[in-house]
Amino acid sequence: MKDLEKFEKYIKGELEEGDLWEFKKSLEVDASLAAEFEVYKATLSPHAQKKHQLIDELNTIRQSKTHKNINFGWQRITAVAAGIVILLGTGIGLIRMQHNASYQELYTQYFIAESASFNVRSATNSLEQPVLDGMQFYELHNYDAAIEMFEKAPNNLMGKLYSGLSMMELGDFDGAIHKFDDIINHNDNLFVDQAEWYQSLCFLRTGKRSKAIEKFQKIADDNGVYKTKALKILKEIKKE
Amino acid sequence: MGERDNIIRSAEILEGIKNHDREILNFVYETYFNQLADFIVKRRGTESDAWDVFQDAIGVVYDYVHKKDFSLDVPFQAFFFTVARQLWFQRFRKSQKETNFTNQTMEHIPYEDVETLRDYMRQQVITRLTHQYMKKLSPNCIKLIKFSNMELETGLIAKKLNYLSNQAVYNQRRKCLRKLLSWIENDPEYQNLTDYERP
Repeated sequence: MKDLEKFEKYIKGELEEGDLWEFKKSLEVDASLAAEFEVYKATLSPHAQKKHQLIDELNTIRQSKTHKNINFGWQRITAVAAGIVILLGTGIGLIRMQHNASYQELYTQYFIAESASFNVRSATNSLEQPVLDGMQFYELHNYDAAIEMFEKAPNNLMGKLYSGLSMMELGDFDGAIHKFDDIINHNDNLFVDQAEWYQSLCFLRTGKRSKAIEKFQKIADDNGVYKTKALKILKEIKKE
Repeated sequence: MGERDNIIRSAEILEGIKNHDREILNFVYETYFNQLADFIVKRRGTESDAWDVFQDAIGVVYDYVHKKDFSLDVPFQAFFFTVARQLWFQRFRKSQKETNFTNQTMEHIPYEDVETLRDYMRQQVITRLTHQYMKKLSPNCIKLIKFSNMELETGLIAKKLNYLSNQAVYNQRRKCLRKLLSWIENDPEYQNLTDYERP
Protein backbone atom coordinates (compact mmCIF):
# COMPACT_ATOMS: atom_id res chain seq x y z
CA MET A 1 0.00 0.00 0.00
CA LYS A 2 1.62 3.16 -1.16
CA ASP A 3 -0.32 5.87 0.57
CA LEU A 4 -2.61 4.57 3.24
CA GLU A 5 -2.93 7.89 5.03
CA LYS A 6 -3.97 9.60 1.81
CA PHE A 7 -6.56 6.90 1.09
CA GLU A 8 -7.97 7.42 4.56
CA LYS A 9 -8.17 11.18 4.19
CA TYR A 10 -9.77 10.86 0.76
CA ILE A 11 -12.48 8.52 2.08
CA LYS A 12 -13.16 10.87 4.98
CA GLY A 13 -13.25 13.89 2.62
CA GLU A 14 -10.31 15.47 4.42
CA LEU A 15 -7.95 16.04 1.47
CA GLU A 16 -7.21 19.69 0.70
CA GLU A 17 -8.21 20.89 -2.77
CA GLY A 18 -4.71 20.66 -4.27
CA ASP A 19 -4.01 17.24 -2.79
CA LEU A 20 -7.43 16.04 -3.85
CA TRP A 21 -6.81 16.97 -7.48
CA GLU A 22 -3.38 15.36 -7.39
CA PHE A 23 -4.76 12.20 -5.80
CA LYS A 24 -7.54 11.83 -8.38
CA LYS A 25 -5.06 12.35 -11.17
CA SER A 26 -2.73 9.71 -9.69
CA LEU A 27 -5.62 7.24 -9.60
CA GLU A 28 -6.14 7.77 -13.32
CA VAL A 29 -2.54 7.31 -14.36
CA ASP A 30 -1.23 4.83 -11.81
CA ALA A 31 -2.99 1.46 -12.29
CA SER A 32 -1.37 -0.18 -9.27
CA LEU A 33 -2.37 2.72 -7.02
CA ALA A 34 -5.93 2.45 -8.37
CA ALA A 35 -5.96 -1.30 -7.64
CA GLU A 36 -4.69 -0.71 -4.12
CA PHE A 37 -7.30 1.95 -3.57
CA GLU A 38 -10.06 -0.39 -4.71
CA VAL A 39 -8.99 -3.04 -2.21
CA TYR A 40 -8.66 -0.36 0.48
CA LYS A 41 -12.22 0.83 -0.24
CA ALA A 42 -13.50 -2.74 -0.13
CA THR A 43 -11.81 -3.32 3.22
CA LEU A 44 -11.49 -0.16 5.22
CA SER A 45 -14.41 2.17 4.77
CA PRO A 46 -17.66 2.45 6.72
CA HIS A 47 -19.60 1.49 3.58
CA ALA A 48 -17.38 -1.57 3.03
CA GLN A 49 -17.94 -2.65 6.60
CA LYS A 50 -21.70 -2.50 6.05
CA LYS A 51 -21.31 -4.50 2.85
CA HIS A 52 -19.30 -7.16 4.64
CA GLN A 53 -22.10 -7.35 7.19
CA LEU A 54 -24.58 -7.72 4.35
CA ILE A 55 -22.56 -10.61 2.88
CA ASP A 56 -22.48 -12.26 6.34
CA GLU A 57 -26.23 -11.83 6.68
CA LEU A 58 -26.87 -13.36 3.26
CA ASN A 59 -24.59 -16.27 4.08
CA THR A 60 -26.37 -16.85 7.39
CA ILE A 61 -29.71 -16.92 5.57
CA ARG A 62 -28.36 -19.34 2.98
CA GLN A 63 -26.82 -21.57 5.64
CA SER A 64 -30.06 -21.76 7.57
CA LYS A 65 -32.02 -22.63 4.39
CA THR A 66 -29.41 -25.10 3.20
CA HIS A 67 -29.36 -26.86 6.56
CA LYS A 68 -33.12 -27.10 6.39
CA ASN A 69 -32.95 -28.48 2.85
CA ILE A 70 -30.28 -30.98 3.79
CA ASN A 71 -32.35 -32.06 6.74
CA PHE A 72 -35.49 -32.27 4.64
CA GLY A 73 -33.50 -34.23 2.07
CA TRP A 74 -32.49 -36.72 4.70
CA GLN A 75 -35.99 -36.75 6.00
CA ARG A 76 -37.28 -37.75 2.57
CA ILE A 77 -34.86 -40.66 2.57
CA THR A 78 -35.93 -41.46 6.11
CA ALA A 79 -39.54 -41.28 4.97
CA VAL A 80 -38.95 -43.92 2.31
CA ALA A 81 -37.23 -46.13 4.85
CA ALA A 82 -39.99 -45.47 7.32
CA GLY A 83 -42.55 -46.45 4.69
CA ILE A 84 -40.86 -49.79 4.29
CA VAL A 85 -40.69 -50.20 8.01
CA ILE A 86 -44.38 -49.30 8.27
CA LEU A 87 -45.10 -51.98 5.76
CA LEU A 88 -43.30 -54.28 8.10
CA GLY A 89 -45.47 -53.14 10.94
CA THR A 90 -43.85 -50.11 12.62
CA GLY A 91 -44.15 -46.35 12.06
CA ILE A 92 -41.37 -45.18 14.37
CA GLY A 93 -39.12 -43.74 11.66
CA LEU A 94 -41.82 -41.53 10.19
CA ILE A 95 -42.85 -40.20 13.56
CA ARG A 96 -39.23 -39.35 14.40
CA MET A 97 -38.87 -37.55 11.06
CA GLN A 98 -41.90 -35.38 11.76
CA HIS A 99 -40.61 -34.63 15.24
CA ASN A 100 -37.21 -33.55 13.98
CA ALA A 101 -38.76 -31.08 11.54
CA SER A 102 -40.96 -29.57 14.21
CA TYR A 103 -38.07 -29.41 16.72
CA GLN A 104 -36.09 -27.38 14.20
CA GLU A 105 -39.02 -25.04 13.77
CA LEU A 106 -39.33 -24.64 17.54
CA TYR A 107 -35.61 -23.98 17.76
CA THR A 108 -35.80 -21.29 15.08
CA GLN A 109 -38.74 -19.74 16.89
CA TYR A 110 -37.05 -19.63 20.29
CA PHE A 111 -33.37 -19.08 19.49
CA ILE A 112 -32.86 -15.34 19.51
CA ALA A 113 -29.23 -14.34 19.18
CA GLU A 114 -28.01 -12.78 22.39
CA SER A 115 -26.63 -9.26 22.08
CA ALA A 116 -23.14 -8.88 23.50
CA SER A 117 -23.52 -5.20 24.34
CA PHE A 118 -25.87 -5.65 27.32
CA ASN A 119 -23.62 -8.18 29.02
CA VAL A 120 -20.50 -6.14 28.29
CA ARG A 121 -22.11 -3.06 29.79
CA SER A 122 -23.34 -4.93 32.83
CA ALA A 123 -20.16 -6.90 33.41
CA THR A 124 -17.48 -5.79 35.80
CA ASN A 125 -14.51 -3.79 34.59
CA SER A 126 -12.27 -6.76 35.17
CA LEU A 127 -13.17 -8.45 31.86
CA GLU A 128 -10.11 -9.85 30.15
CA GLN A 129 -9.03 -8.22 26.89
CA PRO A 130 -9.46 -11.33 24.68
CA VAL A 131 -13.04 -11.64 25.94
CA LEU A 132 -13.77 -8.01 25.06
CA ASP A 133 -12.21 -8.55 21.65
CA GLY A 134 -14.22 -11.74 21.22
CA MET A 135 -17.41 -9.85 22.06
CA GLN A 136 -16.62 -7.33 19.35
CA PHE A 137 -16.14 -10.12 16.81
CA TYR A 138 -19.39 -11.71 18.04
CA GLU A 139 -21.25 -8.44 17.50
CA LEU A 140 -19.79 -8.28 13.98
CA HIS A 141 -21.10 -11.84 13.34
CA ASN A 142 -17.52 -13.04 12.87
CA TYR A 143 -18.07 -16.14 14.99
CA ASP A 144 -14.90 -18.04 14.06
CA ALA A 145 -12.71 -15.12 15.14
CA ALA A 146 -14.84 -14.64 18.27
CA ILE A 147 -14.30 -18.28 19.33
CA GLU A 148 -10.57 -17.94 18.69
CA MET A 149 -10.46 -14.93 21.03
CA PHE A 150 -12.53 -16.60 23.76
CA GLU A 151 -10.17 -19.58 23.68
CA LYS A 152 -7.43 -17.21 24.85
CA ALA A 153 -9.28 -16.75 28.13
CA PRO A 154 -10.33 -20.36 28.75
CA ASN A 155 -11.52 -19.82 32.33
CA ASN A 156 -13.67 -16.79 31.68
CA LEU A 157 -17.31 -17.74 32.08
CA MET A 158 -18.70 -14.94 29.93
CA GLY A 159 -16.24 -16.00 27.25
CA LYS A 160 -17.55 -19.56 27.55
CA LEU A 161 -21.15 -18.37 27.21
CA TYR A 162 -20.47 -16.36 24.06
CA SER A 163 -18.22 -19.07 22.70
CA GLY A 164 -21.19 -21.45 23.04
CA LEU A 165 -23.51 -18.94 21.38
CA SER A 166 -21.01 -18.47 18.54
CA MET A 167 -20.90 -22.25 18.09
CA MET A 168 -24.70 -22.32 17.91
CA GLU A 169 -24.58 -19.66 15.19
CA LEU A 170 -22.11 -21.86 13.30
CA GLY A 171 -24.25 -25.00 13.76
CA ASP A 172 -21.76 -26.72 16.13
CA PHE A 173 -24.39 -27.72 18.70
CA ASP A 174 -22.32 -30.44 20.40
CA GLY A 175 -19.46 -27.97 20.95
CA ALA A 176 -21.95 -25.46 22.37
CA ILE A 177 -23.46 -28.05 24.74
CA HIS A 178 -19.98 -28.72 26.09
CA LYS A 179 -19.30 -24.99 26.71
CA PHE A 180 -22.64 -24.52 28.48
CA ASP A 181 -21.91 -27.59 30.61
CA ASP A 182 -18.77 -25.88 31.96
CA ILE A 183 -20.84 -22.88 33.06
CA ILE A 184 -23.60 -25.00 34.60
CA ASN A 185 -21.13 -27.22 36.46
CA HIS A 186 -19.34 -24.16 37.85
CA ASN A 187 -22.78 -23.25 39.25
CA ASP A 188 -21.86 -20.14 41.23
CA ASN A 189 -22.04 -17.55 38.45
CA LEU A 190 -24.34 -15.07 36.71
CA PHE A 191 -24.66 -17.02 33.49
CA VAL A 192 -26.17 -20.31 34.62
CA ASP A 193 -29.72 -19.34 33.54
CA GLN A 194 -28.59 -18.41 30.03
CA ALA A 195 -26.36 -21.48 29.73
CA GLU A 196 -29.20 -23.82 30.75
CA TRP A 197 -31.65 -22.19 28.34
CA TYR A 198 -29.34 -22.24 25.33
CA GLN A 199 -28.12 -25.76 26.13
CA SER A 200 -31.73 -26.98 26.18
CA LEU A 201 -32.26 -25.40 22.78
CA CYS A 202 -29.18 -27.26 21.51
CA PHE A 203 -30.65 -30.57 22.70
CA LEU A 204 -33.91 -29.69 20.99
CA ARG A 205 -32.16 -28.73 17.77
CA THR A 206 -30.21 -31.98 17.66
CA GLY A 207 -33.38 -34.06 18.22
CA LYS A 208 -32.51 -35.23 21.76
CA ARG A 209 -36.10 -35.02 22.91
CA SER A 210 -35.95 -36.56 26.37
CA LYS A 211 -32.81 -34.62 27.31
CA ALA A 212 -34.42 -31.39 26.07
CA ILE A 213 -37.60 -32.05 28.06
CA GLU A 214 -35.57 -32.81 31.20
CA LYS A 215 -33.61 -29.55 30.83
CA PHE A 216 -36.60 -27.34 29.95
CA GLN A 217 -38.51 -28.87 32.88
CA LYS A 218 -35.68 -27.92 35.26
CA ILE A 219 -35.78 -24.33 33.95
CA ALA A 220 -39.58 -24.25 34.37
CA ASP A 221 -39.29 -25.53 37.95
CA ASP A 222 -36.52 -23.11 38.93
CA ASN A 223 -38.52 -19.85 38.57
CA GLY A 224 -35.72 -18.24 36.55
CA VAL A 225 -36.03 -15.65 33.76
CA TYR A 226 -36.66 -18.32 31.15
CA LYS A 227 -39.47 -20.05 33.09
CA THR A 228 -42.35 -18.80 30.88
CA LYS A 229 -40.55 -19.64 27.67
CA ALA A 230 -39.63 -23.07 29.00
CA LEU A 231 -43.25 -23.82 29.93
CA LYS A 232 -44.41 -22.77 26.46
CA ILE A 233 -41.81 -24.82 24.65
CA LEU A 234 -42.52 -27.86 26.85
CA LYS A 235 -46.19 -27.64 25.89
CA GLU A 236 -45.21 -27.58 22.22
CA ILE A 237 -42.81 -30.52 22.50
CA LYS A 238 -45.28 -32.63 24.44
CA LYS A 239 -47.95 -32.01 21.77
CA GLU A 240 -45.79 -33.99 19.34
CA MET B 1 -50.43 -8.00 -8.79
CA GLY B 2 -50.66 -4.78 -10.88
CA GLU B 3 -47.69 -2.77 -12.04
CA ARG B 4 -48.31 -0.09 -9.41
CA ASP B 5 -48.41 -2.69 -6.63
CA ASN B 6 -45.28 -4.14 -8.07
CA ILE B 7 -43.46 -0.81 -7.90
CA ILE B 8 -44.63 -0.22 -4.33
CA ARG B 9 -43.52 -3.69 -3.33
CA SER B 10 -40.24 -2.97 -5.09
CA ALA B 11 -39.75 0.17 -3.01
CA GLU B 12 -40.26 -1.89 0.15
CA ILE B 13 -37.72 -4.47 -1.00
CA LEU B 14 -35.15 -1.82 -1.88
CA GLU B 15 -35.65 -0.05 1.45
CA GLY B 16 -35.27 -3.42 3.20
CA ILE B 17 -32.03 -4.20 1.39
CA LYS B 18 -30.74 -0.73 2.20
CA ASN B 19 -31.45 -1.28 5.91
CA HIS B 20 -30.29 -4.93 6.10
CA ASP B 21 -33.86 -5.95 6.99
CA ARG B 22 -33.58 -9.68 7.69
CA GLU B 23 -37.20 -10.36 6.72
CA ILE B 24 -36.78 -8.69 3.33
CA LEU B 25 -33.42 -10.39 2.71
CA ASN B 26 -35.07 -13.70 3.52
CA PHE B 27 -37.89 -12.89 1.12
CA VAL B 28 -35.49 -11.97 -1.67
CA TYR B 29 -33.46 -15.15 -1.13
CA GLU B 30 -36.54 -17.38 -1.06
CA THR B 31 -38.18 -15.69 -4.05
CA TYR B 32 -35.27 -15.16 -6.40
CA PHE B 33 -32.34 -17.41 -5.58
CA ASN B 34 -33.78 -20.59 -7.07
CA GLN B 35 -34.85 -18.75 -10.22
CA LEU B 36 -31.36 -17.37 -10.61
CA ALA B 37 -29.75 -20.74 -9.88
CA ASP B 38 -31.98 -22.38 -12.53
CA PHE B 39 -30.96 -19.75 -15.04
CA ILE B 40 -27.26 -20.21 -14.30
CA VAL B 41 -27.24 -24.00 -14.03
CA LYS B 42 -29.02 -24.25 -17.39
CA ARG B 43 -26.17 -22.20 -18.83
CA ARG B 44 -23.36 -24.48 -17.72
CA GLY B 45 -22.86 -22.78 -14.36
CA THR B 46 -22.98 -24.34 -10.90
CA GLU B 47 -25.00 -23.55 -7.80
CA SER B 48 -21.86 -22.09 -6.29
CA ASP B 49 -21.58 -19.69 -9.26
CA ALA B 50 -25.22 -18.81 -8.70
CA TRP B 51 -24.57 -18.01 -5.04
CA ASP B 52 -21.66 -15.70 -5.90
CA VAL B 53 -23.76 -13.95 -8.54
CA PHE B 54 -26.71 -13.65 -6.14
CA GLN B 55 -24.53 -12.00 -3.47
CA ASP B 56 -22.96 -9.72 -6.05
CA ALA B 57 -26.32 -8.67 -7.46
CA ILE B 58 -27.62 -7.84 -3.98
CA GLY B 59 -24.38 -5.92 -3.30
CA VAL B 60 -24.84 -3.90 -6.50
CA VAL B 61 -28.47 -3.15 -5.60
CA TYR B 62 -27.25 -2.12 -2.14
CA ASP B 63 -24.79 0.37 -3.63
CA TYR B 64 -27.40 1.61 -6.07
CA VAL B 65 -29.96 2.38 -3.36
CA HIS B 66 -27.29 4.25 -1.40
CA LYS B 67 -26.67 6.54 -4.35
CA LYS B 68 -27.66 10.14 -3.54
CA ASP B 69 -30.01 10.64 -6.50
CA PHE B 70 -31.32 7.10 -6.51
CA SER B 71 -34.67 6.35 -8.14
CA LEU B 72 -35.96 3.19 -9.75
CA ASP B 73 -38.78 3.07 -12.28
CA VAL B 74 -38.69 -0.64 -13.06
CA PRO B 75 -39.90 -3.41 -10.74
CA PHE B 76 -37.27 -4.82 -8.42
CA GLN B 77 -37.38 -8.22 -10.08
CA ALA B 78 -36.52 -6.80 -13.51
CA PHE B 79 -33.72 -4.69 -12.08
CA PHE B 80 -32.29 -7.50 -9.99
CA PHE B 81 -32.25 -10.02 -12.83
CA THR B 82 -30.79 -7.49 -15.25
CA VAL B 83 -27.87 -6.93 -12.90
CA ALA B 84 -27.54 -10.64 -12.06
CA ARG B 85 -27.57 -11.73 -15.72
CA GLN B 86 -24.97 -9.12 -16.58
CA LEU B 87 -22.75 -10.32 -13.73
CA TRP B 88 -23.17 -13.92 -14.85
CA PHE B 89 -22.46 -13.22 -18.52
CA GLN B 90 -19.28 -11.39 -17.62
CA ARG B 91 -18.14 -14.21 -15.38
CA PHE B 92 -19.14 -16.97 -17.80
CA ARG B 93 -17.76 -15.30 -20.89
CA LYS B 94 -14.39 -14.93 -19.27
CA SER B 95 -14.25 -18.43 -17.86
CA GLN B 96 -15.38 -20.08 -21.11
CA LYS B 97 -13.63 -17.70 -23.50
CA GLU B 98 -17.06 -17.25 -25.07
CA THR B 99 -17.65 -14.04 -27.02
CA ASN B 100 -21.20 -14.37 -28.27
CA PHE B 101 -22.85 -12.55 -25.37
CA THR B 102 -23.82 -8.96 -25.90
CA ASN B 103 -24.70 -6.18 -23.48
CA GLN B 104 -28.39 -6.30 -24.36
CA THR B 105 -29.09 -7.55 -20.83
CA MET B 106 -28.70 -3.99 -19.51
CA GLU B 107 -31.81 -2.85 -21.41
CA HIS B 108 -33.91 -2.17 -18.28
CA ILE B 109 -31.32 0.18 -16.80
CA PRO B 110 -31.52 3.92 -17.45
CA TYR B 111 -28.77 4.78 -19.93
CA GLU B 112 -27.08 7.27 -17.61
CA ASP B 113 -26.76 4.62 -14.89
CA VAL B 114 -25.18 1.84 -16.94
CA GLU B 115 -21.64 3.04 -16.38
CA THR B 116 -22.23 3.61 -12.67
CA LEU B 117 -23.58 0.08 -12.36
CA ARG B 118 -20.55 -1.34 -14.12
CA ASP B 119 -18.37 0.39 -11.51
CA TYR B 120 -20.55 -1.03 -8.76
CA MET B 121 -20.28 -4.53 -10.25
CA ARG B 122 -16.52 -4.34 -10.33
CA GLN B 123 -16.33 -2.96 -6.80
CA GLN B 124 -18.78 -5.58 -5.55
CA VAL B 125 -16.73 -8.48 -6.91
CA ILE B 126 -13.69 -6.99 -5.15
CA THR B 127 -15.71 -6.60 -1.94
CA ARG B 128 -16.77 -10.27 -2.07
CA LEU B 129 -13.19 -11.40 -2.70
CA THR B 130 -11.96 -9.17 0.12
CA HIS B 131 -14.56 -10.68 2.43
CA GLN B 132 -13.45 -14.16 1.39
CA TYR B 133 -9.71 -13.54 1.80
CA MET B 134 -9.98 -11.53 5.01
CA LYS B 135 -10.77 -14.81 6.75
CA LYS B 136 -7.29 -16.02 5.83
CA LEU B 137 -5.57 -13.10 7.55
CA SER B 138 -4.03 -13.53 11.00
CA PRO B 139 -6.36 -12.78 13.94
CA ASN B 140 -4.22 -9.71 14.64
CA CYS B 141 -4.77 -8.33 11.13
CA ILE B 142 -8.49 -9.04 11.36
CA LYS B 143 -8.65 -7.18 14.67
CA LEU B 144 -6.73 -4.27 13.24
CA ILE B 145 -9.08 -4.01 10.28
CA LYS B 146 -12.22 -4.39 12.39
CA PHE B 147 -11.07 -1.78 14.90
CA SER B 148 -10.18 0.59 12.07
CA ASN B 149 -13.64 0.10 10.60
CA MET B 150 -15.16 0.89 13.97
CA GLU B 151 -13.54 4.29 13.48
CA LEU B 152 -11.54 4.04 16.69
CA GLU B 153 -8.79 6.63 17.00
CA THR B 154 -5.44 5.27 15.81
CA GLY B 155 -3.97 6.01 19.25
CA LEU B 156 -6.64 3.93 20.91
CA ILE B 157 -6.07 1.05 18.48
CA ALA B 158 -2.34 1.23 19.27
CA LYS B 159 -3.14 1.02 22.98
CA LYS B 160 -5.64 -1.81 22.61
CA LEU B 161 -3.35 -3.91 20.43
CA ASN B 162 -0.12 -3.02 22.21
CA TYR B 163 1.59 -1.11 19.39
CA LEU B 164 4.20 1.42 20.43
CA SER B 165 3.02 4.25 18.19
CA ASN B 166 0.38 5.35 15.70
CA GLN B 167 2.93 4.82 12.95
CA ALA B 168 3.31 1.18 14.00
CA VAL B 169 -0.46 0.78 13.56
CA TYR B 170 -0.26 2.29 10.06
CA ASN B 171 2.69 0.06 9.17
CA GLN B 172 1.00 -3.10 10.39
CA ARG B 173 -2.26 -2.20 8.67
CA ARG B 174 -0.35 -1.54 5.47
CA LYS B 175 1.23 -5.00 5.74
CA CYS B 176 -2.15 -6.65 6.30
CA LEU B 177 -3.71 -4.85 3.33
CA ARG B 178 -0.75 -5.66 1.13
CA LYS B 179 -1.19 -9.35 1.97
CA LEU B 180 -4.88 -9.12 1.17
CA LEU B 181 -4.15 -7.36 -2.10
CA SER B 182 -1.63 -10.02 -3.15
CA TRP B 183 -4.20 -12.80 -2.63
CA ILE B 184 -6.90 -10.87 -4.46
CA GLU B 185 -4.61 -9.98 -7.35
CA ASN B 186 -3.87 -13.67 -7.88
CA ASP B 187 -7.52 -14.68 -7.87
CA PRO B 188 -8.79 -15.55 -11.38
CA GLU B 189 -12.02 -13.66 -10.73
CA TYR B 190 -10.08 -10.49 -10.06
CA GLN B 191 -8.00 -11.04 -13.16
CA ASN B 192 -11.24 -11.33 -15.15
CA LEU B 193 -12.46 -7.95 -14.03
CA THR B 194 -11.06 -6.01 -16.95
CA ASP B 195 -14.42 -6.22 -18.73
CA TYR B 196 -15.97 -3.83 -16.27
CA GLU B 197 -13.39 -1.16 -16.90
CA ARG B 198 -14.46 1.94 -18.69
CA PRO B 199 -13.74 2.00 -22.43
